[in-house]
Amino acid sequence: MKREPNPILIKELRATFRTPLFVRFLYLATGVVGILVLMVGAIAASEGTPPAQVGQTVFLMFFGLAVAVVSLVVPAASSTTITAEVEGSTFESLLLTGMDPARIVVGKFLANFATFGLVVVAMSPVVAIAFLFGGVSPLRIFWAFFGLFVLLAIAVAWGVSVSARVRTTRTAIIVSTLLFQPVVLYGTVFVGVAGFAMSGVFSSAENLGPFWFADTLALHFFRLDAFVLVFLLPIYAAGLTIWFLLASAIASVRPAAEDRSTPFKVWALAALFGQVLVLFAAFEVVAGGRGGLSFDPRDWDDLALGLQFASAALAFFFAALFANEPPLPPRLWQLRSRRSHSWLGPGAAGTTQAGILLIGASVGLATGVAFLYGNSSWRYVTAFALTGATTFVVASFYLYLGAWLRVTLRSGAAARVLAFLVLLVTLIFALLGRLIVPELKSAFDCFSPVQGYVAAVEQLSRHRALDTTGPISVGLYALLTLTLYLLLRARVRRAQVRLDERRAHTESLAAAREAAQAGAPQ
Amino acid sequence: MIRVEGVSHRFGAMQVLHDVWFHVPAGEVFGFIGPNGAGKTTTLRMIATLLEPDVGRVLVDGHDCVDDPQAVRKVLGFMPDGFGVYERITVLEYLEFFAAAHDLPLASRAKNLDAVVALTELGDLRQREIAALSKGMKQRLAIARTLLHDPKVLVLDEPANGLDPRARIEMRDLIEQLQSLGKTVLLSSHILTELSDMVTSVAILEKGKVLRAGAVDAIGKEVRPDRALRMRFLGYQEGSETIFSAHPDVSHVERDADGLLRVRYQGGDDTVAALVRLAVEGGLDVVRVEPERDDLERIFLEVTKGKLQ
Repeated sequence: MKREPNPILIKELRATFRTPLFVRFLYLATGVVGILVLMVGAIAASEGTPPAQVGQTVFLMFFGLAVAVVSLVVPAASSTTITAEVEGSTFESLLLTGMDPARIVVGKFLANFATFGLVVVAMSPVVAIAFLFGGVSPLRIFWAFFGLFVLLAIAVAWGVSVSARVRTTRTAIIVSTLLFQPVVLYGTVFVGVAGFAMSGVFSSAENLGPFWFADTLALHFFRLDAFVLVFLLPIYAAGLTIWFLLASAIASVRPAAEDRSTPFKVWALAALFGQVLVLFAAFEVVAGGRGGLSFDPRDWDDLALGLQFASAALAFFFAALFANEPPLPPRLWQLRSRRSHSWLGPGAAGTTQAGILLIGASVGLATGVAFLYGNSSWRYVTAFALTGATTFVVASFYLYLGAWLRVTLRSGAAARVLAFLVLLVTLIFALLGRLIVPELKSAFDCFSPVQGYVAAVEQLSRHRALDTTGPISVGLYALLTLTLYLLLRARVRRAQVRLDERRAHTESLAAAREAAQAGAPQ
Repeated sequence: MIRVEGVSHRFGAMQVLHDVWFHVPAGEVFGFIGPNGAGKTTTLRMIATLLEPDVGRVLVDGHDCVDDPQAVRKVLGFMPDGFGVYERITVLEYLEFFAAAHDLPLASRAKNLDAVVALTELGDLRQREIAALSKGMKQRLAIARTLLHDPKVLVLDEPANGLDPRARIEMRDLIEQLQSLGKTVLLSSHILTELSDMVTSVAILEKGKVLRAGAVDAIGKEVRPDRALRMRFLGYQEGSETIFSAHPDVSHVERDADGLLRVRYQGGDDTVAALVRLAVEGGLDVVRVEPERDDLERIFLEVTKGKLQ
């Protein structure tokens, strides 16, 4: 059966295009960008700059302004999409239709993407000014627009995600706008640095700043290294980000009685696949020399260690993500699956187990690659093993501590922050302790959650024998993790007993009332 | 049709509902009354699957609101207090949107829409933008929206809130029409006069507890077994009180500020006839005899003991 278009998308587009404010914004954005680009082009041309360079300046000015419009306006405008419904008392009516929260969120995302996509399209003729001067190919402009639309999709997903999380429109606008700016800033810097790093590999036009990728894709799209590094990986990273933001919005909209964690587990698996893709790109495409890069053998070891630290970031992200589960699987999941628990399913027990597996897989991949590609000397092998073990154990500790706190405090945000603070305080305690009482330096080092990393790096950089405080620290945190696992298990069991008692109590009350009614004179 | 069984709920430290029990029979217009803050909206939100009770359960048409909310949503239409509508679309687009959101079959969608528009008398306003509608019309539109999927049960939270007298009368007529279509209607209000002409049964809620629940007449008899009769005589006839005080079924006689004699008695229509006969035989010129109804206001005051909220 043919599925009809998302009703949210249709309704939102109808409402938006009838709003006079939107039409005014469309004119204003196009007008301001057009005037500024023309001004800059005219100034550059009047200074005797070569035409091709003027064309590039116009190109950069246009896309710079477009990025500014997208990053300033879109998160703010998209962040009102759900809060406005909540404040306007229409959201509950929407939920009561039985519409899947995923359909609601995707509808909101598509509507905002289409709306602001139209703004970008409306502004697009302005960039044609660059063609008057030359120096910019249509293909380069195509890829620059492609990048702009990717940024637009991220900005919209970000806004929708914030909108689903916060309660008021005012907070949503402030939070989404303020927090998105650093993301854009660091993203621009990262893209610029990546362009600089690859400038020797891909010949491209100079002075394109963060828009170097447009030139690279225009010239080298069919080269494997360019395709993987400049197209596939960024698209994958952007897709993963948008997926995560939308999954987060869907989880916020979904009732608490529904399974909220499984979509994140699916996402985490996809993120793991991304890690494989990164490893492939790093080791086969770039380091393998097919792209023309040649690595010093010593760089291989640094790269292997660097990848391990990158996987640590992913592992800690997984830990924070899966620490926020209620003690028992949600009631509707239990009813639907006819099970009270599942080994990897929702609920604190299943989700922490899934988290451990995902952390293990992430660490295992990076460590395995380090063993395979890195230096095979004992010194390196022990350092790689110690780094992997530290990530696995400390991330697991964070996961179980957060999960236990979540179950105890009944607040996901507080549990994550507290668990992080515990790690931070332990680290500061160990650092201060070794400074204040130097004779107990080794003992304090054992308390430090990062001692495994420190010992591994020291062993590699200073050519020293392995510092035993590293493995001891890992062992200590493994014991703590085991304790937390047992504590969590006890809490989960207690919660199950309490729930069973409550259900039995309700049923006995209902039975008693029915019996009393049946016995009462009519 | 709706069973609320032993429901308790707390928001933080505040216990808003405490062991609430009541039953709404099928086909009834049931009033849920109580002062502001009594817990009416919280209870209605539980029935509408928007809130889970801490203790107890709520069943709608046999479906548990917590265990099977989707099944409940299929048989229930809910109009919350302070409902909202999308302002920038037309009446027809609004209803089409909700019909699509309910995933109603395309083949029967137009028929459903026409029926609902006819019932709520929105036919002339189909193409009008919602922003241009009056509050009463928006209220009608909200009810039309709740009826789109042809639910068996309608839960209306303060449906006449903020409406002008004409719109209130229209709302009352609409609810009577819905009852005639076999719908079960549960409506809450703290304005008792608004409900008195519509409801057949009530639950009286105060400070999160149901004080009484059942048929209005039954509760009326339960809270005050004696009934009252208002009588007016031609001119002021002194000593009329003593004529009635002597009757064995009369418990109390008083004269109100308007000069009407209020006789409280126990018994049925035969007692009323006997009292009228007594008045005539006693030489009183009877102009008007009016038995007092068990109206909601009186029941409410009796049940809540007239306490200030």
